[in-house]
Amino acid sequence: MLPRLLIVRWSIRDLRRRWPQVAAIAAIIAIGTGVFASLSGTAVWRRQSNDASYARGAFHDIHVALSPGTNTAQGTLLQAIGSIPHAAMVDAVQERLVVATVVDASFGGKSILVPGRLVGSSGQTVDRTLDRRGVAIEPSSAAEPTALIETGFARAWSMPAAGTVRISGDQPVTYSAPAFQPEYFYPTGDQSSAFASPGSFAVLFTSLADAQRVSGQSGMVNDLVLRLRPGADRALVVKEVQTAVATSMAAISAEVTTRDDNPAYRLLYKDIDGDQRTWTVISFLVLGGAALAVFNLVSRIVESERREIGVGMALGTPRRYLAARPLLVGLQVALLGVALGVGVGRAMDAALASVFKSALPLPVWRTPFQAWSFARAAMVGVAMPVMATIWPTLRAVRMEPVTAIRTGPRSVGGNGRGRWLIPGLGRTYRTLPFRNVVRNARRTMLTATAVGAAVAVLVAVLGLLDAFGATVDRALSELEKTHPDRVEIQLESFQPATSASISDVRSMPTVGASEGGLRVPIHIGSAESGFDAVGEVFAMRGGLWAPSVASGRLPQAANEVLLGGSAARDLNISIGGHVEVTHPQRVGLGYRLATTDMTVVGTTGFPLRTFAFFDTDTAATMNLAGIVNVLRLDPATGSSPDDVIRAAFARSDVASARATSSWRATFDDALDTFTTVLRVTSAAVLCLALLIAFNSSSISVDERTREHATMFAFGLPRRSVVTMLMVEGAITGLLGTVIGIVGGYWAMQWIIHSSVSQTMPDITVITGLSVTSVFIGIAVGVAAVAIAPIFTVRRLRSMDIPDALRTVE
Amino acid sequence: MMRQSAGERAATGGESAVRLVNVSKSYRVGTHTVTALDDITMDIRRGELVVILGPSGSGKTTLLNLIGVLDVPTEGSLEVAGIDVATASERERFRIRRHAVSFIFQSFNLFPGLTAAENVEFGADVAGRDAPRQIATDVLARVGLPDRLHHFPHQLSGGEQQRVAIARALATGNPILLADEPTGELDFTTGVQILGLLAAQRDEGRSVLIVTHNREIARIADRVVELSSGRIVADGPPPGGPVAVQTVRW
Repeated sequence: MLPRLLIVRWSIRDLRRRWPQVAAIAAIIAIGTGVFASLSGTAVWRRQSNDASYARGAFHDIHVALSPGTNTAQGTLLQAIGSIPHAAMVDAVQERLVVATVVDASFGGKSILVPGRLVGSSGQTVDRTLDRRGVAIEPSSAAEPTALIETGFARAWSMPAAGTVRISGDQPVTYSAPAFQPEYFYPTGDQSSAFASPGSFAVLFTSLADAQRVSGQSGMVNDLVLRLRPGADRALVVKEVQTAVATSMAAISAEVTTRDDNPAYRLLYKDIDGDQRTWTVISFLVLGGAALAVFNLVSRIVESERREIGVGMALGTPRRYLAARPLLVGLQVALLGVALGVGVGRAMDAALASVFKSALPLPVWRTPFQAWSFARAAMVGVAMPVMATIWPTLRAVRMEPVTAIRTGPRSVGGNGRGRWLIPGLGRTYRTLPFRNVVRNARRTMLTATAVGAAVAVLVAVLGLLDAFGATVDRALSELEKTHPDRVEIQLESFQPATSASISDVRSMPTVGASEGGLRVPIHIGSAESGFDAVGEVFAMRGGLWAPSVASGRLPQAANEVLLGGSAARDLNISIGGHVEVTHPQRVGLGYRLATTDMTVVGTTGFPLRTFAFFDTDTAATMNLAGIVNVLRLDPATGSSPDDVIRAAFARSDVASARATSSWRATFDDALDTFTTVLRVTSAAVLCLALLIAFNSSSISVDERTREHATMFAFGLPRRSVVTMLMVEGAITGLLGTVIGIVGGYWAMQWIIHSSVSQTMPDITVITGLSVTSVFIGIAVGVAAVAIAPIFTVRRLRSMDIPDALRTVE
Repeated sequence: MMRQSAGERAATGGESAVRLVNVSKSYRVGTHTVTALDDITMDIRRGELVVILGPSGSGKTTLLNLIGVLDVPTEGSLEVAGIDVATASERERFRIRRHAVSFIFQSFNLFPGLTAAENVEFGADVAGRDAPRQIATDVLARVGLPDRLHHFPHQLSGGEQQRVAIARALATGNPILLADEPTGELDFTTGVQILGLLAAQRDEGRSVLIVTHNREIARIADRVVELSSGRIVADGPPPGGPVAVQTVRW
């Protein structure tokens, strides 16, 4: 019988004879497995990098923050901690002074005025400042106040490594280097929001002494962070700290939180699983598309060897020997594809690592090679072509030898399908593309499905980009619908609306119209099912800006609320229903949290549920009637938002100033990681679609060699044959595109509703495909498949017509 | 654009439809040169039935391919329909195949996705003839298949498929028919019928060239050109003159 070595040599010759097709199929496997391996392994990277960065930064376990606007003598908080029964569980503790401010970081003609924070620490044992290598650094000591500037902010504005910024009261602060600090590893701004961009909030890290000096709070602190020893009972210590702080500072309220409550920490870890779900779905789509394409292409190659198998059977060769050759071809293609897939995967890894490092700068990034991800992908990559050879091989070896050997018309049946499709096309050969598509419906649908899978992934990815773009546009159009140049001033503390300082701000020469209101942190719903938000208490009518109403009406009385985004749906509340709102309530000089039952009177088109709107009458519920902490200022004629911000910056009672126009950058930055990964993936999918198109066309030319040779023998010009192939490709591509656009739209919807809604619950993503995305899908699915035959012109031109016409290959 | 079509020239412009002068054809196979045809000189006249006879490897198929302008000679001059094939551009060679010569293949080479009528219509279409559908119907009736118009090749017997292939060649209206072993895959009875159809074309003024290794078939020819090892070893009427198709036996 056939020696094994002969079968191996024969199969290698098969590969070499079809090397462009084999290379293309291997490339398809490579893209599918490489993208899958890379995308499905990012969660491990992020978790490891987060863990290492927080460990390196000695992130706090417990945080004590006094209410805004209050402070206490240095040492008081330390004493309180020292007095708790389980003080031995505390490993390290630091007092701090945290000062809200406005930062003018303008340089080189660039105007940068943002809200910010000055964090003065008494040491580096908890919440260390780290340089970009993850090494602890401290601000250099000098006669003038010096600080380190938060890395994300510095990178966002491409600031020089060292320089001078100015803070509220126009005070200069020299910074000597950019630095990381665990509380600010992820930009959350001053609203604990997922929508702060790194460039919209500046944090300066300095010594406690410099912070006290600069803020005029000599000897005072308002913040404390501590780390526990390994194995300590954190919940117990939290309770004891709460009791100790309440006892030692009865007149001042303080909030005691853990690291899990830190917005940056929460977002960094929470995002991982949610993002990974989305990447996994996309990676499975890519792998699925590749698998379909490989199955179609490899099975067609094996089908074309059916006659040789038949000849072998006629000669009495056992079926298992005959099956070995095509199976070996499938295995060799698989191994080649998987080997290339490692390269593609590493390239994707490098691209994704670069995206993550840029979008989520951390002091320590770990991007180890994910062997298990690759192994999983490799198993699929090997299985795909092997499975693709098994079925047609079994078909071939089970056929009667005489049927397998048969050539000519009897080997491929024609049928009447399609004739009715093509009246009036004129020349007979012009009908052949349509007849070919319909004649072998199974093959057409397999090819169309493979193209469709690639188009579906592309459309899903582009659709996600469209959805985020549309959501950002909706948010911005909502914010900018009236008085788009307005500036919002956050005050250092609550103040009477009629106070002199408020009047001063509102009567600044650069200010035209103005209004005051409250912005307070709230919690909507129950502790289990609700969510944190920002409550805006302003006059709903006649002011500079009010939210639009999607359903219901604006609040016009106390304890009425207009919910944003998907809040009402998420809380399962209809208009007229009631919801619990937990809000601050002034008590003496401090505040406590109170829960009030409020009526939902409407929902707004603003796509963020983290904003809820109340009329000014609700201020009384918070015991803040006639009090403001936010001012909305419209620039006077001839003044710009920047002029207003600069004027406000000079005042020491202004904590932050922000122009409405700065929100675009905030949204873009918030979605940057997501959209960049999608763009990288779409590039890979585009390559996949083009490869599928080319390979399908190439195999079609091989399958119809004799038909084409006969046409040439009758003098049909080559361009007519190429045109026929292009028309057939366009029809198949159109079918695939329809499948792809429908499938891609469905996939996009599913990803948004099942995955993105959990990753970014605060955003109500607006789904929809742009015309551009549909056009790209059509261009790839139809044009690529239709144009692919052009790449076979050389092969047609060099065809040995007499050789192709002969019966024996 | 030719002032006179290749077909017209072959049909009316002179005695010779095909003229070969000192034609040779060689192939390089690795480091060796294989001479398939060596110094062939011959004419095929209008209305002549010529059989190219020879054993396997004698060069008869190569000669057919050259005359059918599927290949070009390595040496010598080959004129088909008055055009020197060796110096003709590729466009001109395609044009010759559309308007001067038509092939009938041993394995039929019908298009499996087209019916019998459509396969024949294809021939008329490519040649640029008017009313190709009507031509297809008429020609299929002439070859004895009026009831097989809408059958696909796999639904036809071998003989019927070869008739369709002949019909396709006839539908072009080209004056030169080239048949490569036209009875090779057919039984004797069917083969005789096919030969009858081809002989009838000679009677209608076409030049018919049949390539075969079957000496019995050569008896129907006006002239037999015998090849051996790429050279003409005989060129003349068959012994005893041409006989009627019905009298051949193999």
